[in-house]
Amino acid sequence: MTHYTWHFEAVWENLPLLLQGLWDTCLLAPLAMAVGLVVGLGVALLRLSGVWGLSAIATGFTELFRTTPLLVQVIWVYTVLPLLTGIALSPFVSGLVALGLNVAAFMAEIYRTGITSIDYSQKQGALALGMTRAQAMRRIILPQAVRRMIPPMTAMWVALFKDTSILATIGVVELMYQARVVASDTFRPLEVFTAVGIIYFLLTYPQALLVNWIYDRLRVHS
Amino acid sequence: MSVTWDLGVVTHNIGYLLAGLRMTIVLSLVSLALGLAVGLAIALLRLSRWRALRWAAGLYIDVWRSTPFLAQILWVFYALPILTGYALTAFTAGVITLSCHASAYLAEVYRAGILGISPGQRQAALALGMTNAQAARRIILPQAVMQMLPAIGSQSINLFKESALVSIINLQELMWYAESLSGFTMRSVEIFSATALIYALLTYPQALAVNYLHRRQRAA
Amino acid sequence: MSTAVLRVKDLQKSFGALEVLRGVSLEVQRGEVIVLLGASGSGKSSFLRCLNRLEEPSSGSIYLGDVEVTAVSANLAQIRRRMGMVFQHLNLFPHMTAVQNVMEGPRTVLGLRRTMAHSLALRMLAKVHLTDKAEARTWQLSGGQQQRVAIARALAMEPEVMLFDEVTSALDPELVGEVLTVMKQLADDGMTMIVVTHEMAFARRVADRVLMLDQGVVIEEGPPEQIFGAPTHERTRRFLRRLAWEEQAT
Repeated sequence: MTHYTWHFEAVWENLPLLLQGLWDTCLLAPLAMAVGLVVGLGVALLRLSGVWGLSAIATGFTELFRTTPLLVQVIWVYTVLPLLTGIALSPFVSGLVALGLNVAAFMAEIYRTGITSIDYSQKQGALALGMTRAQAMRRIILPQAVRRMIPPMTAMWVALFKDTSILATIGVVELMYQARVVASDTFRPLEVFTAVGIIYFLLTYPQALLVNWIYDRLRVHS
Repeated sequence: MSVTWDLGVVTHNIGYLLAGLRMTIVLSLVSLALGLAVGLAIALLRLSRWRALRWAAGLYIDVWRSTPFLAQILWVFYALPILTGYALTAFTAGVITLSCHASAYLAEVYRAGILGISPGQRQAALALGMTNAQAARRIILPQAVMQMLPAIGSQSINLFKESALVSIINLQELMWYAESLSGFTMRSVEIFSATALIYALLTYPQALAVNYLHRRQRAA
Repeated sequence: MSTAVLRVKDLQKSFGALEVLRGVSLEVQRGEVIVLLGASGSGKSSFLRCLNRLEEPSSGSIYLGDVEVTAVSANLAQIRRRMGMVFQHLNLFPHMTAVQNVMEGPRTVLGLRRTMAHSLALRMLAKVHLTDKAEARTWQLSGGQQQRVAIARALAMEPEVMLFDEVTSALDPELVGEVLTVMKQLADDGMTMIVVTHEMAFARRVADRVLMLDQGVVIEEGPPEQIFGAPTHERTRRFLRRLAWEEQAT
């Protein structure tokens, strides 16, 4: 290791810029999550619909978005979608769409496995009591399914938060983008990237701890 | 939709894409192998008797899992050389980042796998007169490995997908060629669609294998 | 020098503030069948597990023949080879077939070659009447069959003493008999056995000596006729009455 003197002034002086990026990060993640939760539910319902055509489309969508890198999806949406539809999208919106679809695919899986994992005997028990299928779903199946879905959903959220960094590649001005700007402006990549790494860590780690806590609590009950 | 698909662009340039694919596969497999080995070492540190080692391993895992991969690859390629005084090739930086990243997740998989084996198994092995090492080798680890295979498979899939981000430091793997070709041929739709398809073909069999292993486990 | 196979002096065991064993002593001669009775929490399972130090005694000494089990420098692996243990929850190795389970000890611990270990294992399986199930996977066997495989696995090491930790407590009632039959046979063949159990009939017919444990101490000790016929301690009488009721009910 060479003797190196750290110059964190580069970070302090540009903190406002970095924090601006952070703001975008914190905006993107919840928006993408919201999109993903809703679209994912639609996809899951299609898949469970029983109609072969709809189910196949849903499965295709899910598998496609889960087997390809997020970077490919982001760049595809940003460069290809405008060409296909004729609508120009800002980097922020394209990024949001790509992230949202990505989350939707994973959420569709979570919804599906959550619902199908509830033992059929639960439904039988409910029907035997005289409930309608809708009541059985609402009172017995869904509450249990939701509890099963919460741990993987929270893990998904943490991953999503980190994945917002990928949008820097298409020019979305979030934290990672600003990091690269500042690093090249100040010629201090070590300090800047280390500081940004620490910022991500400080934001993500508590959420990861929360996820672990949720996993532990919900596991005991099921 | 007023776009015509020109598949010729893909077939014409398939050589580049395949060259990129080869680099992606090499990068991913090397990183996976390293990640499996390093992950095991970290997991054993996590389970060690000394608190300092456990804490250090825990910190390693938390740092690599709580920061985005993009931040990690940029740090390893641009920042680390400043600290060590040694420049890294893009490939080396890619391998280091991918394996450390994967090892943090794999360490947790290993730990859960080993701890998931009922303590009675170890007791039965010891009662027969086995040493701890024999019990680990013959009884605990074989069962743990079988349990862990689906999770390891998932990590492998993630690794293959993450390798695309190494394009950012100009490693000429699949994504890099896709971006270059797209700029060169001005036909992003076909190129990126083909690229997406190639990645899907790379990871889908792995996903099927993981599902199969998962189902077999639940049956037994 | 005593001829006892196993000598236990003043064994004590605490889990933090909880005292589980408060000074238990026992001498076991070759070929003796000792049955330990007692309510849950009386310490009988802990006692058994201390004998091969799967649980660590807090104080006291244990001698297997001339070797001190409780010595700090004791070679536990070697000592445990001379004792066979059968568990309540089986602990068969699920990634192996029945015969592989029985072979595992002789192969890995004793270093026997595979073919020799295999024929030894088949002989042991024959002893427990399971030759036809040699190639079965553990989950394909009934609870009683699994427990018999576990016994064969312990026997394959040719131990000097066999320790049985409530081996029938987790079994369905119909399956208990086949396991007890095997155990009685072992006793008739002269095996030294220490058995923790609730099975009264077994204790009455097979035991040479019965020990009654309560709250970590032996409150009564003697031949079965004495313990079952004329127990002196009030708690013994109460315990036996309750067990007799359970026996009659099933």
